[in-house]
Amino acid sequence: MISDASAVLTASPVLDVRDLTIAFRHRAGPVQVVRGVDLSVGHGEIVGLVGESGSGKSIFARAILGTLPRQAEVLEGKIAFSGSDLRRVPPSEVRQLRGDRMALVPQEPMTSLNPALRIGRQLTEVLEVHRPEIGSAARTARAIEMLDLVGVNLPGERLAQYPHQLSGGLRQRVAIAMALICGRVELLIADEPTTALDVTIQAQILDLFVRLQEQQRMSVLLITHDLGVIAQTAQRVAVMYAGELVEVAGVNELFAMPHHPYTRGLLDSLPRGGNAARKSHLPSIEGTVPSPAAPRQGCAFADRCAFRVDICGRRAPMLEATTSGRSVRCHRWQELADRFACRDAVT
Amino acid sequence: MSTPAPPLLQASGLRKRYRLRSAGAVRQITAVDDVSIQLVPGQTLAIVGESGCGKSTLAKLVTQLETADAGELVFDGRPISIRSRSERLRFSRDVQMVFQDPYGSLTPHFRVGSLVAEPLSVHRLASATAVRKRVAEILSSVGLGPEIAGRFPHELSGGQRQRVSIARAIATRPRLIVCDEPVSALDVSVRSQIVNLLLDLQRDLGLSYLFISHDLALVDHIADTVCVMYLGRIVEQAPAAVFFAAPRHPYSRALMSSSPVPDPRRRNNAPAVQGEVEAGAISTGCRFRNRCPLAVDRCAQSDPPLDPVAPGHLVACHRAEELGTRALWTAQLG
Repeated sequence: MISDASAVLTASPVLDVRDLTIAFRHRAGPVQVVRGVDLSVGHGEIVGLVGESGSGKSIFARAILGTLPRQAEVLEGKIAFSGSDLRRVPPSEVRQLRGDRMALVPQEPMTSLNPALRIGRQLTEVLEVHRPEIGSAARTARAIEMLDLVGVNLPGERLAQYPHQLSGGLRQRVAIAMALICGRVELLIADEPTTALDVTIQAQILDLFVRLQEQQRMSVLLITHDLGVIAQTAQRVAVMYAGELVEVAGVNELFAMPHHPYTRGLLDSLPRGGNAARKSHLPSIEGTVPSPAAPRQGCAFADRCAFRVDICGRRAPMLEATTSGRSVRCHRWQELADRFACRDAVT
Repeated sequence: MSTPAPPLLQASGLRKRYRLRSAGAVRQITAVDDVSIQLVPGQTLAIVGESGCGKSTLAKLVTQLETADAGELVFDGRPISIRSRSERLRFSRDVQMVFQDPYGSLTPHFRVGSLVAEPLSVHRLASATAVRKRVAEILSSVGLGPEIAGRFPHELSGGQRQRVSIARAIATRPRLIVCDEPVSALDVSVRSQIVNLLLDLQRDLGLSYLFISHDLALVDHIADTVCVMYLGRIVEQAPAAVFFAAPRHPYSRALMSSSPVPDPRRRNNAPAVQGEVEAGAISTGCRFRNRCPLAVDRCAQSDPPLDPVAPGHLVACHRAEELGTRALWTAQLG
């Protein structure tokens, strides 16, 4: 199921974000919520972006889509989508791209679907905007075809229904159909697409994502806090902490041998089950995520890091490329890599 | 399960119906249907299931936030129904609750100190002079410093807020805490801190937990006994070790294989079950049969009873016997 990540990356990436910094305007001055993020998504690649709440992952996605809230602004950096820098493209053109060549699947489709419009209308509206050459009958036919593709039963009858008449799982399928209906999506951004769903439905939707990604040969940026979801779907993973990427690696490498102490802490803190461990203390990362407004000196994770040394509090580490094509932001990664090695995920 | 200690709580045949008004028509939903559970002192009983399975309603029935339409609840050897006023007050002291959302469950304009002192004054557990000291003790036992007492909930992180909720719950020195998805809203790095706190409190205070969760890996870590609910019914009940080694009900298997394992070498091939939970979709026979990959004719004819397949292991499936012996699973469920 995993295609060879290196082969994918030889072509120029669909999305190439360089040194992106986003800040919220605030009385006391700008508060940086995304700090110098470099991330690319190759053709046909599923990249997972993991982070906790407040890590900046959703704001990052909104910057790519050109839907930042008014109080936020991009301070620096480049967002290259299929070769063009979206920061230099007029907003009207970005609006044309959105829903056509790039699309969003949100966490809770109830908030993105219009509650007062029938499903059919919402789907055909996308085509009216982006594919005006398609006639009305063909639009309806296309809507039915898309609903069928994403596994909605009785697609013809669904067109007349309202979002509240559908279950959460069906609404998410409709949201996916809406994202793909133009048939030209190159980049799909899914922001916590299964977080609001039950686990058996989550498994169905994740399976759908992987199948559609292969079928439609699109690229997916999957944003989630759930490491299980990442392990099940992504090919490459970027870990975000307090607005910065702290580690980027292939999914197998990341889970087998995390380099950054934060990644390692996250993986270790997951309950693994089994009789031996039952009711024993789970490893945990002490403390909490620092406030983005707090002055920062040195590594953002230093206060919570079990491997902290002097330099961590004084100098901020850079995102460094390792020998094996990964990158990690830690002064001690080389020394720690040996220590973290051979940790067997689950047997 | 073989513990000779009398159960702390025994619920038998609990049933709760709600009337729903949808599109002008009134229909009845049986949220909890003939559910019996037993809680051993100092142990954790986990209730697992998806939304709409009735697990939160069951929590409300056990804590008496809702009254059951049928069935009996016996706490500490005495039926709830025949208790006097003072005994009821005692029950509300003995049984506490921790909710999923620490944002919604703490009154925003009360300081933490007042929030934790409130149950003490309601139950007259500390004199006015001793309250401050007692609050500091309770805060310390949930890992919070005394300075937190002066803060408002909005000044705290999600993890700290959940610690405050737990502090309120243990303030009355309860014997049972009903935890409804207590860590689901928390970030991964904070979640394990709270899980550890709950484990410590259980050990130190001898608490019983009725732990409601959809997270099987977490349940595997903390539970002594597991109950799986589907559409109001318990479909499987077993000691945790037995359950996780060999779940017997097809729905239990589906839940387990749908849970995303944080290991890319163990990817799920295909979704274990199709379709979604539909309340009221099935009026006869097994409620899971429309999604069950192993359903046969018999499943449509009668509702399978929750019967033992081994001591302490109950399964409500017509095919439970053969599923225990045959390798049907690997062939059909993957």
